[in-house]
Amino acid sequence: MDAHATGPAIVWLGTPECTDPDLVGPKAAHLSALAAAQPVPAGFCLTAATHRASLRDGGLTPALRSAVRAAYERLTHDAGHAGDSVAVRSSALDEDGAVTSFAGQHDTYLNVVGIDALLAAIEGAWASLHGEAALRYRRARGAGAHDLALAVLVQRMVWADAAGVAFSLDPLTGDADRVVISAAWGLGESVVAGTITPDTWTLRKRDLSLLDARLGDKERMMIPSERGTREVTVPSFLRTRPSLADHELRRVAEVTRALELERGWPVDIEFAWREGEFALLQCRPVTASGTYA
Amino acid sequence: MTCAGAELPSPAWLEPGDAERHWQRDLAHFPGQVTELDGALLRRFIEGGFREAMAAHSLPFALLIRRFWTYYYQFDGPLALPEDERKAMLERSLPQRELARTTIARRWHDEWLPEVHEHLAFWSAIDPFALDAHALASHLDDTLARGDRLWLLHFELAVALSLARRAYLELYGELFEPSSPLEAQTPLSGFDVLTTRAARELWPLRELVAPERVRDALLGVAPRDAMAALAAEPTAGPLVAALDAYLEANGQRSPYLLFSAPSLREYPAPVMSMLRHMVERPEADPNRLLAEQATKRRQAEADARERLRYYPAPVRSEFEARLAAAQTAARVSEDHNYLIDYSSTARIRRVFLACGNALAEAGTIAEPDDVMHLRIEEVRAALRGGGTDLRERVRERRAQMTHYAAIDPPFDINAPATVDGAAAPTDPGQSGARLDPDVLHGMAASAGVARGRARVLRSLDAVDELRPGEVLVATTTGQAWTPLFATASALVTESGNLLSHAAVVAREYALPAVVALSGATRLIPDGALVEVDGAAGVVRLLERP
Repeated sequence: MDAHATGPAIVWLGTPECTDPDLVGPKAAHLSALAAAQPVPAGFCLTAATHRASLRDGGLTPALRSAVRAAYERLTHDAGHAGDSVAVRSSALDEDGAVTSFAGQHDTYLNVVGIDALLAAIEGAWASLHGEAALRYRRARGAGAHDLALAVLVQRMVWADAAGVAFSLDPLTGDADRVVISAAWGLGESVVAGTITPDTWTLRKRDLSLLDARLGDKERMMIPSERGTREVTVPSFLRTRPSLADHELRRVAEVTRALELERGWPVDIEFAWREGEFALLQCRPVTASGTYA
Repeated sequence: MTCAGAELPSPAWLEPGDAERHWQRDLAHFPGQVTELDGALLRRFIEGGFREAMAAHSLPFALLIRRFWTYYYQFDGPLALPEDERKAMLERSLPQRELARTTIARRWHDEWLPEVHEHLAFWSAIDPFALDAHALASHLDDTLARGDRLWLLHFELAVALSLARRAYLELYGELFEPSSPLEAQTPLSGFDVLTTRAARELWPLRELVAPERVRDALLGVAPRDAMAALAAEPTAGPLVAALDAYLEANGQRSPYLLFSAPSLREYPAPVMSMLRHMVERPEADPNRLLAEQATKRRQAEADARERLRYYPAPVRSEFEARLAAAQTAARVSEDHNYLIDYSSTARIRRVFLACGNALAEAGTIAEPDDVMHLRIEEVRAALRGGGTDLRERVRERRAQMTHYAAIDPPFDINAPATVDGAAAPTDPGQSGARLDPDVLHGMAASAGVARGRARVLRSLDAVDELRPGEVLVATTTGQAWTPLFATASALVTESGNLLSHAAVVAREYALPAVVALSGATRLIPDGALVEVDGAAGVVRLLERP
C-alpha cells in the first residue's frame, strides 16, 4: 500500500478524514467525532497508512519528519498552559472494538516536549505494536496479527489538576442505570493503571443522584516533569479531600450520559480537569466483559 | 537539691500541686535573676495572658510561672483533664485554629495593631512622674489592666503565628523535602520589620559623626561612656539631638522581658556600639542588607513556584496561601515582640519607676529603684495608704538576690524519671559537646561560615567588649541585642530555635548563626578562635586562648 495513494500522512482531530477507524484507529476516530461538541484537546493523527509506509521506507522519512514538525508547530504555536508539551498515544486499528480492549497495551508518552522527543515518541509507539505484551494479548484474544499497523495520536497535553475515568454503566454489575466515576489528583495515568486508590462515586443515571461516594487515600500522584512524568507524594492536606468538586462530578456524569446516548453504546471515558476547565481525553465502548484493568 | 556545691532550700511552692509539677527554666528569655516585682508581673501577665488565650482557642494547655531562688521557672504542659476530654477539646478547637492561622494578616492590621498602638499612645500621653500619689495609684491600675490585655494579645497572636508557620513548614517539607531546615526560611526573610528598621533609622546619623571632634568623642571612649563624651563635646550638638530623638522613637524597649532592666533609652550603650560600627564599617549599610535579603526571598519564592509549576492547582494555591500567612507571621512575630513584649515592658517599667520615686520621697523605700523589689500589692497599698516602712523588706530581698546571684540553679525541678529511674536528660547543659570537644553542635539557624575570636557576653552590660568581626557568644539575645548583630561576624547562643528572635534577625543580617548550643558560654572560651558554620549548626574551636 502506498502512503501517497491513501491520502495525507497526517490528519487533524475534528476533521472528516480523522473519523475513519480504518485510517486512524477507533480511539482517534471516536475522539475526532466528538471534537466538535466536546472539549477534546487539539491534536493530529499519523494514520495507520503512514505507519505502513514507514515500515516499508525504514522509519521516518525526511518528508514525514518535516510534515510532523509542521503539524507540531501548528499545534503548539499558540501555546496554552502546557506550552510545547504534547501527549502521544497509539491508536491501533483493532483497539477499542466492542469486544476487546487494548487499553494500556500500547505505549503512551506524556508531556513530550520538542520535535526530537516527539519523533522519538512516534517511533516508540510504532515499535510498541510489536512488543511482547501486545502480541501476547492479541494472540490470547484471537485478534488477527494481519493488520500490524497503528495510528499515532498527538494531542496537546493537559496538565491535569485532577483526572479519572467514568463509565455509563456499573462495570462490575453491568447495572445500566449507573454512572461510575473514579478520579484522583494529577494526571489520570495512575487511575487508569490502578496504582493508587482513587475516589469513586456511583450515581443513578436517570437523575444523577449520588448513590455512593468512596474517598480513596490518594497518597501518590502522577504529574508532568521537565521531560515526561513523575510520581510524587500528595501533600497530606489534599489526600482526603475529594478530587472532584460537586459541580465537577455532575459535569462528568452529564457528559458520560450524553456520550452514551449520542454514541449508542455504553461508554468508558477518560477526562481531566485543569483550572476549572473540563477536557475529554478518551471515549470508547465499554467492552463486553464490562471490566477494565 | 545541690547546686554549685551548695544545698538549696526547697522551692517556695505557691499553690497546691506545685510540689509535684515539672518546672523548667526558660533560658531564652530569662537567663539571669529576676526581682520580686519582675516575678510578680511576669506571673500576672504571662500566666494570665496565656490562660485567657488558651481559653479563647479551646486549647487544653497551661503555663504557670514561678520565681524560685530568685530565678524564673515555668511549668508548661497539658491541662489536668481526662485524656478523652482533652482530645474532644482539641477536636473542637480545630475550626478555631484554622481560622486563627488563615486570618492573621487581617486581624493584625484591623484589630491587634491599632489596639497595641492605642495602649502605647496611652503611656506616651501621660508622664507618670508628674502625677501625685493618688493619681499614680489609679494610673498604675490602668497600666496593669492594659498590660493584662497586651499579654492576652501576645498569646493570641503567638497561637496564630505558630499555627501559620507550622502549616507552611509542613507543606514545604512535604513538597520539596529540603536538605536543610534553613531552606524553608529564606522565603520568610528580608522583610521590613521594626527591629531592622531601628538599625536603618540609625544609619543616617553617621553623617553627623563626620566632624573630626565628634568622631573622636564617639570612638575615643567605650560605648557605655559615649553618650556622656558626646554631651561634653560642643560641636556634637546636632548628633546628640538626633540621638535623643532616635532613642525617644526607638529606645523605649527593654533588653529583656524584665521590668527591672533599664530600657535602651536609659542605657543606650548597645545603640552607641552600633553607631560606632556603622562609622567604622561604612560598607555595612543596613538598607543594602535588607535589599539583598529581599532579593534572596523573591528568588526563593520564584524557585518554589517554578518547582510547583507542574503540580495540581489546589497544591499551588494552598502553597501560596500558607506562604503568605507565614510571611505575615514572620513580620508580625518580630513586630509584636517589639511592640508588645519589649516596648510595653519599658512603658510599664517607667510607671513603676515613677511609683518608686513617689515612695522614696515619702520615705517608704530608700531609693526609687527599690520598687523593683516590691510586690504589686505592696506598691499599690503604699501609694494609697502610705505609712508602712518597706525599707527592711527591700533590704531582705536585695540580700536574697545577692545570696542567690552566684548559684547555678537547676534547669529542672521534678524532671520526669526515665525507665531506669534516672532523671530525664532535659538539662541541656552538657549536650552541646559530643565526642570531639573542639566540635560543638547546636541548631543551624542562619547559613554562612565565619571565623573570628569568640566574645562571650553574659549580659548587655558587657557590650563594650565586642569588637568588629568577633563571634558573639551569649546565653540568649533579646531584641535589645540586635544592634550588636551589625558588629559581630557570627552568632552563637545557648537557647533558641529556628524561629526564635535571634535566629530570625540573624538571617535578616545574613549573619551566620548557631542557636540552642547548650553550654556555649562555658564550652567556648572567651577569646578562642572559632569557626561558625551556620548551615551545619556547628562551631569549631580552632585555637584556644
